[in-house]
Amino acid sequence: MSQRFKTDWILFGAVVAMASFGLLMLFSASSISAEMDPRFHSSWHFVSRQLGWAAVSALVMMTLKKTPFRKFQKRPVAFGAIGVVLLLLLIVYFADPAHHRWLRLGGSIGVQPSELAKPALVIFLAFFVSWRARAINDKRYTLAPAALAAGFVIFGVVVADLGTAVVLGAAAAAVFFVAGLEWRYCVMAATVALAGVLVFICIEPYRLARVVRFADPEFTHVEKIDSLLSLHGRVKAYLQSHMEKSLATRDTNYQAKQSKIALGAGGPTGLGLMNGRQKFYVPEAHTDFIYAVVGEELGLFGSVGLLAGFAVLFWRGLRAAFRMNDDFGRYLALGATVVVVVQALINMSVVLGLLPTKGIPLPMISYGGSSLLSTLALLGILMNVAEHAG
Amino acid sequence: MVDRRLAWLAGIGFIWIAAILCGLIRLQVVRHAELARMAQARQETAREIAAPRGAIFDRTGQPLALSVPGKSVYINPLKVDIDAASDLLSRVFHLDRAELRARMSQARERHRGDLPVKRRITDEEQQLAARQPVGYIDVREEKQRHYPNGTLAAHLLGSVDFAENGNAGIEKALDRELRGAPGKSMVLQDVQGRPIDSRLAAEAKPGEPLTLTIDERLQYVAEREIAAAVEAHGAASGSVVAMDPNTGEVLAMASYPTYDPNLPPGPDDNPAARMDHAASVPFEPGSVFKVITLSAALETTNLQPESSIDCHGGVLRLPGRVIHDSHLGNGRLQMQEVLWKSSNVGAIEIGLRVGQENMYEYVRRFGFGQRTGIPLPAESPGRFRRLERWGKTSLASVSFGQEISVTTLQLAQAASAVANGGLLVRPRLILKKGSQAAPAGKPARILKPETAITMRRMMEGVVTNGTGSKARLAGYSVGGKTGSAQIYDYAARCYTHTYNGSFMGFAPSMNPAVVVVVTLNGTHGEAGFGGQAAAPVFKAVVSEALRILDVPKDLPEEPAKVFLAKAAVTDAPPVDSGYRQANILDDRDDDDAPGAAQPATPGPKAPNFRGMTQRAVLSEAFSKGLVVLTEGSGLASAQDPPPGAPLREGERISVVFTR
Repeated sequence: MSQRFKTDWILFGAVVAMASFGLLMLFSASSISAEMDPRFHSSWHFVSRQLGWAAVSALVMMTLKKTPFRKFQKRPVAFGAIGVVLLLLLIVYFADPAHHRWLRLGGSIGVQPSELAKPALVIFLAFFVSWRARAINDKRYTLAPAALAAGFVIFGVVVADLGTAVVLGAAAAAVFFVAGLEWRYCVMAATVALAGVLVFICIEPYRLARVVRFADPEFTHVEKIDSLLSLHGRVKAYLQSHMEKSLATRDTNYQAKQSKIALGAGGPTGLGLMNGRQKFYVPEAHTDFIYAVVGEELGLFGSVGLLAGFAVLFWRGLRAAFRMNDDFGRYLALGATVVVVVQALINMSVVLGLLPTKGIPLPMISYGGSSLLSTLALLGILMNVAEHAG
Repeated sequence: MVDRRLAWLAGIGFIWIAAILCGLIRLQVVRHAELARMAQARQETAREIAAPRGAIFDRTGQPLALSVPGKSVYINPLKVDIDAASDLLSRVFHLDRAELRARMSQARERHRGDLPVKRRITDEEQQLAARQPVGYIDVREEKQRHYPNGTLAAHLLGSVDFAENGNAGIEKALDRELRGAPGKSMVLQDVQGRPIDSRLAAEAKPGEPLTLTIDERLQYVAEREIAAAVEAHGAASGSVVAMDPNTGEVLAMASYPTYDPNLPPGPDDNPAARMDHAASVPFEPGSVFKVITLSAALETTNLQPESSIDCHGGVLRLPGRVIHDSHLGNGRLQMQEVLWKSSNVGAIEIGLRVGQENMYEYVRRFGFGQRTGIPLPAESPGRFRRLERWGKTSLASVSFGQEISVTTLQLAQAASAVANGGLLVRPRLILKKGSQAAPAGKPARILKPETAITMRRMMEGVVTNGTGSKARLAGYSVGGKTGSAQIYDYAARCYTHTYNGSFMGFAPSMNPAVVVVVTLNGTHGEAGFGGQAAAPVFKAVVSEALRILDVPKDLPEEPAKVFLAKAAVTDAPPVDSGYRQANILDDRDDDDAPGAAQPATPGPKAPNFRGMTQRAVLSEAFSKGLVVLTEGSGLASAQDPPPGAPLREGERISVVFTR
């Protein structure tokens, strides 16, 4: 086959620009706090680490971009990757008893297996769906095993990180949806997912508190439920008692409010790079809420510009999937695109106060080595698919 | 199928993106102004910028009080672990751990988030603090009050509390001027309240510098001399006031014991050290008060300096008490001799002729019983009974300085009125506020000029012929009055053998450039009499003042050998047998028996200027080679020395003109 492969320069340019922009914003968001933090005493504390991760991630991305994606279309790769991730998730459950999140590699360097689960699951889904493409609505031989495998991974991730699990679930749903899943299964899956999320929220009081704070800060609906079920305010009392217990609940509203103030204070033109002030009040300004710093310092231009960057990724990713005549490549592109873009949109929605607070970073912008690595790996695969899509 | 599903997906994705875009526009454009205000309110706190406190200078521009930059340590007790922090801070800043811990927990109880741990830390302490791995040690630059001369003029200057508010002396009285107006800076803080950035909202208006009338050199001499005298005589305390009688400018004002205003008050301090004995602690003046009695007599009776006063052989019986002048023992004295020798009986005789209404009027005119208005918050008005409350013997008592309490400053004010020709000039302490001259008060005439001149002449006699011999100066004529008031013991209800020895005087006596009043409180025995203990202090201070003011000498350098026969000292021991309450007795004064002090050689005689115009007086004086001091305008009405009196060499003639 003598097809000439052409790099998707729009996609490549957007990724390089956003990753570089991310490093710049990370410096702006973290340098002063890091300087003032007696543990670090260095304005480069976060940026220097992230630079190291960026170098590694860029290498991985370029390697994957050059690697023909069909090399992944093998059973050992697809199953092996997901097996390794499941194993890592199991290890980290015991290795990090507090958060089940970090696998320490020595020093303060660590990886999050939940991040590595993203490319693994994307490859697995693409492989599985393209393998079973013709019988995608076969309950016994397609849906059940797929649901089982994806369910395992997502459950393993949920323990550590609900936000990432939602992203993975979205990717799986998108792939199956595009592969032609019948509507009734779509509705069923959505119902199950919704129920799962609800259960998951309700078993952790702090999560419930966050949602109630978000949806019903004045308890008006909660009171209605109480009177409807004639529980004499027991639901409200239960919620309130848990909200008071958990410091995180007060933070919830606080975080959302502070980030909204930051965005609003930035206005159309922003306060200028490094000139942000509200960033000292927005918690996690250098990680989950870095979009607020972007909006404050660079104004509407910056925030819309970054949003446009992800829109470009979405566009180029879907375009590749659309043009791709190979099933595996299409689902690979689709999965990678959905993981990155959905994560970005969820993050931005949280910062804007459109969704309840979740611990989920903004791909390529937020501080976090594993996240950058997994994002650029996915984008490297996407670029390779895009080359083949022409 | 696949393409349709992809289109669905694209639709969902772009709708979501559009929703975020709408959210961004809503926050960043529509609600921008509102949220920017909220952000500012959240991020910025106004912090006061302390205005630098105005410096205080002496009249020659020497600094007496300055605000110098220093480092202070603060913490927020609400945000630290008190035990750990008090351990660490007490070690780093050499503080008492228990005391610091108590302060921290107290501040925490009161929800005070800002506690000064230590002021004026050293460089070593600062470096050590910077090395501590904790984030809560807040080292701030602050201006701190510094008194470069330590104890010098401590009572005048006062001091400031830890927040730089004046709490005594001029620092308190003129706190508003010295303080200035604080500025405001808006400080950007992070979520933990740590300052990140600041912008100036209002410039601090620095406090006004003050220039005092005090002369640092004279102040130093006055403090040195009074300290030496208090120690030498075992007195409890002492004070000196030196002032320019014409302008009221206080050149020196010393009080002993003293303190260092740089140091905060401690439990071991002598409480007397912080009291200003010159202006705040009144005492019974005793014989110096005879100057007031005789001034009143000259104006309200027909008594003249030469008029004869019956001294009843030195013993006077009054209802309830007996006054002795045993060491004088004279039957009759001239009025001027009553002053020279400080006869109590004579003073009472004169006072009785003045009468109590006039006496009261003159005491008030001289400013007693009222504050002088000097800008010292703790100034005492002294104590002087209203006329309706006078008893049978009050007139007699007041005549020689009992039943009244005065301050050294009030005596200086009164002596200035005699010295400057009869004007009551309020003492001033502030020469300039900023660069503007402080307005002087309007002097009030309380004596006729001729009365003042006569009093000056009689007071000069106290030094040349009487009890004030130790105040004699080489090269200058001196007028003065001694006083040795017995201290009344309120517990035992009787006068004791401790004295308030004082000397009130001026020089040169015919045209005084400076008035100095010295008081020693609680001296013992004869050596503690005013003429013995206070006069030498007067002499030292007044000669330094004359040197500083560059006053020309009005006498030959060694007057005693040429004109004055050295007085034979005849000690007249005080009668000290059993003072009891029933006969509370005398205020005995100095004991240098006066010798004959008349000029030995006949010199030129004073011409009679009376009735002449000023021009005629000056031309006649010029033709005879005499120096004339004129006062007032119109025709000559009084002169001193009187016509025909022999003139000492270089003696000047004062002539008063009236219309």
